[in-house]
Amino acid sequence: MSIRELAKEYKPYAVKIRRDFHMHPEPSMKEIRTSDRIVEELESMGIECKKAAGTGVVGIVKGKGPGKTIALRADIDALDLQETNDVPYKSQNPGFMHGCGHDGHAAGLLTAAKILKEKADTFDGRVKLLFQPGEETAKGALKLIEEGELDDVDGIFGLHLWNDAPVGKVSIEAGPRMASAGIFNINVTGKGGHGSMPHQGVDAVLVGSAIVTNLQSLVSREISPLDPAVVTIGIFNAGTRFNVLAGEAYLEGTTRCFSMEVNDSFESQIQRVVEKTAESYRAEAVLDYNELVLPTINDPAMSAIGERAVEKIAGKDALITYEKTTGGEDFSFYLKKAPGAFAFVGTKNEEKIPLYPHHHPKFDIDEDAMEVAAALYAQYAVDFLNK
Amino acid sequence: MRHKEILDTQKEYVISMRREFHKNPEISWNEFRTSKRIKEELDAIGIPWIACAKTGLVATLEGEKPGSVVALRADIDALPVTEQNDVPYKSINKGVMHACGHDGHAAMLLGAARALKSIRGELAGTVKFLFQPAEEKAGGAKLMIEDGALEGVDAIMGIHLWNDIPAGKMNIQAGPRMASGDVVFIDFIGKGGHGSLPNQTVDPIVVASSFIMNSQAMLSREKSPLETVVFTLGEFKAGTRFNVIPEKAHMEGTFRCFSQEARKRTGEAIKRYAEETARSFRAQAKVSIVEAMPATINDPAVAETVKTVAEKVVGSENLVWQEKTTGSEDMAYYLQKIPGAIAFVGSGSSEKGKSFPHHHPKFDINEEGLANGTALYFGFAVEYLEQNH
Repeated sequence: MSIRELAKEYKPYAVKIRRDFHMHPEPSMKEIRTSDRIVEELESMGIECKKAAGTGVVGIVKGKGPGKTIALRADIDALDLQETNDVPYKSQNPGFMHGCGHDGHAAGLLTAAKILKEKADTFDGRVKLLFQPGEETAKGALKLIEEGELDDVDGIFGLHLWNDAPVGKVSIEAGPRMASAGIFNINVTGKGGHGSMPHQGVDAVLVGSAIVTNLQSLVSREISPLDPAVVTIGIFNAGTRFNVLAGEAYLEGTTRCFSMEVNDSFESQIQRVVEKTAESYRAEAVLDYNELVLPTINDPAMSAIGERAVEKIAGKDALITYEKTTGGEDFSFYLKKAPGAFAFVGTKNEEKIPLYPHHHPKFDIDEDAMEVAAALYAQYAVDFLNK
Repeated sequence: MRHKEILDTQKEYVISMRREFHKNPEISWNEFRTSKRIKEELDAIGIPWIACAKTGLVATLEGEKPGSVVALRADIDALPVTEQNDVPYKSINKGVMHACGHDGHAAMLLGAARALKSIRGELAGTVKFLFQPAEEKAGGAKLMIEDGALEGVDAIMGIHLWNDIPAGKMNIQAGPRMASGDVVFIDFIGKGGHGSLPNQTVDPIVVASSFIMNSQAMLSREKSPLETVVFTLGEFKAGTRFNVIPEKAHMEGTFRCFSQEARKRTGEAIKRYAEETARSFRAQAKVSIVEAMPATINDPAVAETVKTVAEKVVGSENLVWQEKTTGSEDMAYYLQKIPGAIAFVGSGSSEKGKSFPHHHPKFDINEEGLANGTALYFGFAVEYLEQNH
């Protein structure tokens, strides 16, 4: 049987496992039951596996002979969200919910493992199954990398079930797919005093405001108009009383972009604006900048493999183009270690499932997408290894 | 010389009253014990009084002969400050302290009342003693006026003991002395959303920051460089999370002016900058200006009379010039209604840098200044009634 046919046959398995995960959601880096269940399933398939990155699982499916290694990644964590769906597989853990589709990712990859195990005589090399914890907190991918799981990998493929694309359709274009996310805070130190004697102090409210307005020109003047970029200040806190000159101001914000070049320049650009603006007002400002995730940029050759795989498992019409999104993915960290591609697998079908966005308490998917996801994981691995 | 002798006999009394008030401070609108003690003292002196503005009072001393009516004002409230002085008359009310000298004001006015009572036969006209509550909350003077404290009054004088001036010296000048102090509340209403999709939002933090930057030009470009206006936003609060664009930004501030005209113009300019800046970003500004204290402006004629008396009390060489201050004083409300003046009577240490500023937990006055203030109250009442007979 072809991969496409096997995926159809194992669809009930995929749905069953997905519902099991959906009923038992667990927060990031605490996916204890989930990872135990994954180990159980892999062992019952006869696939060698181990726990990794705490509550993650790494499995290996060996082909018929030596060759390259392709990593397939599924994230497995849920959200701290109270599910309001009325379905038989509703979350049993109050306050937690698979509101982003990771239940489907984990189940899809387990189903692909089942398929690959059966088709092991059709490829050389190895398939490394990465069941990654803690995607929502952007900790899991880094932890797996830190443990060396990407060191022996030649390429990586991941996917996201996506409610904004119709079921049966897949987007896996080359280039930027998801945004970077940076988090930063700024501590402005001026000099407090009485509001009626501003000259005796250094007004941190004014300095903070100057920083906010000056930061606007990074996007409008310094970064190429062709490179999408976002700098947002989400918090501005200063002062205690209307007539007391604020001596300190605290600002917190986030950055987004789609190119490594912009991503790498954000910190020094923001630092320059922040520090020099403060200095021009005789104040001091300290920036603390951290990268949460990098831009997710698909390698063109790896995307091409994915596109061919989609044609095989779902037909030419299944390929769609989908605009990149400003959401972030810690899959991006893998792409620094190995060439890779990330696909959006459509789950939208308003005739069957009311449409709600990801992270919504009524989020749900059309499970027909499970068949596509499982087949795509498996086909991608085989095509990569046989290339 | 008889007046000087009469005043000399008040010195000990004023110091002991000041220490009693200092030991028993009460915050604005809670001056129950203080006003009760003042009433008892006035009863002992023999001057009738009526309660006014809740915890305040107005005492009236009618001279033998008819004439004008002059008012002397002392504020009597303390501050929510914990005293850190180690003195025998240290505050016994935890967390409350006479850290601005109002204890001295009340005591000096009682001393002046005693002295004036003893020369009642010489007075042509009436002296009213205004013991005013809640100066620190800026509501005391307003309520005193509403309750009729200024009815029939021709002129008023108030004193502030001032630690920036050494005891033995005084300041009295015509024109603006202290600033108005109004409160501004501004909410910039934008449209909240995710920090990664700013196009779907109207970011109120950018709007508010732009307003602050834009409004600086009000001070640097719109008003005369010779005119003093202060505009300070002491609070800026917005947002809950680094990656969420909030719906609104809230700020609070104050503006200070030295004329009613500037006050009106500045309030309008702040509104204009806020509303038009907001509109330029497709946001909305809700500006609320709460009028607090007007500017304290000394009437030239009354100031001149006070000056004449001050020269007699401390000598013309001890009259000092002092720049107007951007602080506020609710004496301003009286001065809006009738001619009057506020004088600053030195209560600072003669050693430079030894005095703590007003409102400081270690604030204390140099009690040598009390006799001068008592004499100034007394002398002004006598002089004004004589001049306006």
